[in-house]
Amino acid sequence: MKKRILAALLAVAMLACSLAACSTSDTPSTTAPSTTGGSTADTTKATEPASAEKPKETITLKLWGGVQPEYGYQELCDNFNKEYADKGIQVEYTRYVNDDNGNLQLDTYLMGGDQIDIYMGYGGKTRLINRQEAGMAYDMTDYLTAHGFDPVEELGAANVIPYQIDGKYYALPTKYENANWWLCNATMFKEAGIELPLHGWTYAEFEEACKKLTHGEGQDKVYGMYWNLVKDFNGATNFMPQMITEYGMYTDETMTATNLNNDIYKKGLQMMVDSFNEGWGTSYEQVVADGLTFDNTFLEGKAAISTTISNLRLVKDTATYPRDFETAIIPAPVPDESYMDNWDFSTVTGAGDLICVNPKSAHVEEAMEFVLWYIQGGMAPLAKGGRIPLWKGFDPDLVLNSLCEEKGVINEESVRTYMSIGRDQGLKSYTTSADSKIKAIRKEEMEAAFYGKKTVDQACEDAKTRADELLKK
Amino acid sequence: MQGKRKKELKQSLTAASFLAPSLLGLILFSAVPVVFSMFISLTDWNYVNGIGNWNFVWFENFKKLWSDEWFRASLCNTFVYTVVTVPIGLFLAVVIAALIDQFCAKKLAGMLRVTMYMPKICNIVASAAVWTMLYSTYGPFTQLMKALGWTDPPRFLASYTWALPAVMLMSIWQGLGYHVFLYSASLTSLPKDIYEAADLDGVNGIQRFFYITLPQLKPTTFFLTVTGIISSFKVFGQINVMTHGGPGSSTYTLVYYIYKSAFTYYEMGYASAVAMVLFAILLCVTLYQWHHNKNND
Amino acid sequence: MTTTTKPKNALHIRRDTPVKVLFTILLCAFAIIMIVPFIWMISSSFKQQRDVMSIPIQWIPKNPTWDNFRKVLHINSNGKDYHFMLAYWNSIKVSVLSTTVSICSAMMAGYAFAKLRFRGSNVLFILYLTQMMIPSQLTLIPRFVAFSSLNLTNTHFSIIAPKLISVSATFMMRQAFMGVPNELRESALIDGASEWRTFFNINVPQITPTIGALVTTQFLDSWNSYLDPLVFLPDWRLQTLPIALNQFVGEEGTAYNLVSAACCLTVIPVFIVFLCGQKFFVKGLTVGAVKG
Repeated sequence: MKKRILAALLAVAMLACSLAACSTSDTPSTTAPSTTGGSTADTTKATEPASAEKPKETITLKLWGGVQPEYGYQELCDNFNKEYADKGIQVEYTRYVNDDNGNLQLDTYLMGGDQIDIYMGYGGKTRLINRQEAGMAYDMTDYLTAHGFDPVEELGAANVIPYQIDGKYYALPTKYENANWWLCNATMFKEAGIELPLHGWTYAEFEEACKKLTHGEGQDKVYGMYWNLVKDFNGATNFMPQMITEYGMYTDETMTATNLNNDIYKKGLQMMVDSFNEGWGTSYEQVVADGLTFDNTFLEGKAAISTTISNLRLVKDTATYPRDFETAIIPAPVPDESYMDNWDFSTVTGAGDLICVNPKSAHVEEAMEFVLWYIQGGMAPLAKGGRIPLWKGFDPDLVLNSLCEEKGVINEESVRTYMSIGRDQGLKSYTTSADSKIKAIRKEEMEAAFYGKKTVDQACEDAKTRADELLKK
Repeated sequence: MQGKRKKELKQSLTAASFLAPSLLGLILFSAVPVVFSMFISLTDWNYVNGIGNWNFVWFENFKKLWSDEWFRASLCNTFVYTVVTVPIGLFLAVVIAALIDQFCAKKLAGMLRVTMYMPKICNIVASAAVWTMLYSTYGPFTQLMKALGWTDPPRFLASYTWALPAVMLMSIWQGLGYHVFLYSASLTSLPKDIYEAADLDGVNGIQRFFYITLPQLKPTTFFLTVTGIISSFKVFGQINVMTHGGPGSSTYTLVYYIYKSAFTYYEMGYASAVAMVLFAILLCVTLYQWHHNKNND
Repeated sequence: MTTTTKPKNALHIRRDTPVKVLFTILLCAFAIIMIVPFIWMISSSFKQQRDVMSIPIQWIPKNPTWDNFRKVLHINSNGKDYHFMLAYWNSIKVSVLSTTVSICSAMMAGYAFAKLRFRGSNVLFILYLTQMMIPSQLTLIPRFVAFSSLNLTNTHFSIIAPKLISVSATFMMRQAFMGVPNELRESALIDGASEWRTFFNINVPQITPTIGALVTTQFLDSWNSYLDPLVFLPDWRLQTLPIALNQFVGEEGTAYNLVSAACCLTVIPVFIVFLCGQKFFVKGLTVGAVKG
């Protein structure tokens, strides 16, 4: 008898499991248990009653972005859905994590077909080129021409041209973000009697300020400078290449040799290494080993200045990161007075958040309609989340107001200065196919210098030698 | 004749029905992927090029491997990792197993073994995360080192010199319980008469351990060495949680390099070539094991 | 394993009591050192953030709080990308299904190899043997490519289906079935029972200890599996516990008290199950190994 039961149980188990295994393949998201009502919080559902009554079939566009919906995307989608309810277009936002795994997920879905219609891309041109080559980015050029939207005119040449591929638009930058600017704790500056350097400063001035702002020991130490080297290596080191006005990483327009041993690199790196050794900046080892992040260092009041301007979104989030100081946006320092005349130049673009359309989408037209709506005003709610729209048509005062709506969080004057910087500089961009590899070499050598494995001079020379060798191939 | 053949056919059919699920799995998830993997390793295929758009480069990937600093570092680190963790882990385990066997009452012995086994059943992410915290500048491990007189301990996971040893220590900790378990199991089944004879000869405890116990445990040691080498060559979890291969390339391992190349840079062809190298190494180890077992039988 | 008939101790030193006591204490101390990381983890999970790294270490939190656990469990409410309750459910689902699939398939194949006579059984067996050498890391890329081209990544199916083949489990099953006397099967067949019936009713019940041992190890294996779900399940709604924890550690890395609480949540249930069912675990571990 017992054996019978066992046998029956086994048979049932096998059947059940083969069935279950089959059924799991259907949909990725049917597994939420009933107890966890909040589990679909990431997806903004189209909930407008008006659309439900429409006889015409409603198209739901799927928008993917790397930011939490609370940082404005929820509101943006709600606005769009209200506005487009009669036209039968709705949009649904899904957040993906902008890390290796999240991008893998995005790319897998994009390769797979039409599960995504519109997506926000990050990580600069390298990733964009990859996606364009893989047929994951729709060529917007014709649509834009047909609808009279000239990106150069509307978004600024300096921001748009670097993201063109063979003169075509596969993506449009949407956010103004000048990596030559940093964030600082204005309250600390005030207490130390240091004036906000809104119109540029030199390394010497910067060092002096940092030393003054550094105090304490051990776990309570407050650093003058937080270098965000783990989560955003480029953002933390970009203040150097930004100062090289001509030809980017190359010595001349032939682009056969690199200038990675340029004095600007040497001075900048030396300054960083000094900050590690003298203790007024967080060292690379510290950032790696102690897991110092922008959240737990700058936002906790343990550093006066921080790199990575895109963290403005976290600064705006006072609910998650409550604090009692004001944040200001300040420019990165320059080596000496001679650079002061043009301290606001920028060869690296001042734009981010690339909006792309999936060419495999079944609703490319509608998706493009959304893209234009998004750029030309639709993205306004994102300003509350610290994203400054790039489009010329935006009223800067409106953006300013929503950025600084909560008093004492962001210094208004500094935002005004930041936004007043011309957005058309650094017109020409020099790129080759070896760009990403050269950047990888540059990063490796910089790391070697940061860890003290090489002297700064040696690291720069090695970087140049290696990169030049690469270019010769 | 007819009947016999029919019977044979029926038997084969029954066998096939029993083997079907397993065989299906074998073909779909093991045999075909291996062939496919070899195939990909001969192309310069990048995932984003789309399936079908491969371009044969034959052995170009393998040639590239040897001039690739990161690959060499990965191989070298994996090798060092194996050479250090396997012997130390096993030696510690055999000593502890022998001591437990010698000195502890049965109940206590069982408890000790189970306690030591805990790290093994804990998922790798959790143990790696806990060790990351232990190793942090103000964490207990660093404090302990200070208390032991190391005045200026490094930041273990952010140091070129110490990151790999730190990961190795964690791995030894993790695997120790398993080894102790298996050694204990073998110890209990050792014949006792040799010990009695040795006792009469007046051999002391340490001599007995090295001259009698260790040689007797040789089959277990051999087995554990082989499985230890194999699993060390596959180390991934610790690296991905604790160091991400850093600083520089100082903790890159083969599987981590495969993972990075394939799923961050999408260089499937190149990653497959690295995987083939891993396969080749493991193949050698396993073949040696088989050869060895055959000779001993 | 025959732990019951324990022969004399291996080192066989004269049992001087002081030496014995000394070594017992040393061994106990060592065992405690082995679990110190877990003790520290549990203690940290009840601490306020500022107390975690305080010097000297507070082994018993001065200001104990449940807050960390509450925060971790409710983390999804502020739009983060991990959800521990959901991950629990996913882990249970995936592990149960994986274990069932692998055990059933291994049991059937093991039976075929042990009891059935058919053409090519030797060749097939050698083929199985060779599969032992293939690391799952080698087949990872092709599996990923195949599943993604079929739009099956981001499904639990992609994790469960490959469990159809588990060579080591098949071997253990074969070994176990070989231990069941042939007469049982033959007399049943003569009585007119079908092969399947003999398999279920007569052979399977004989090897329940092996099945029990295998279930525990296989379950633990898939419960702790890391690389495969990391690659195949990036969608947070599908993530299993290790992946959710991985994500959590990645984003909250230095909120040590929260990380500790999250680790506790993933580890403690397994510990409890392990301590309750040690007998099976021990068997599962040793059966495979000593034969190898």
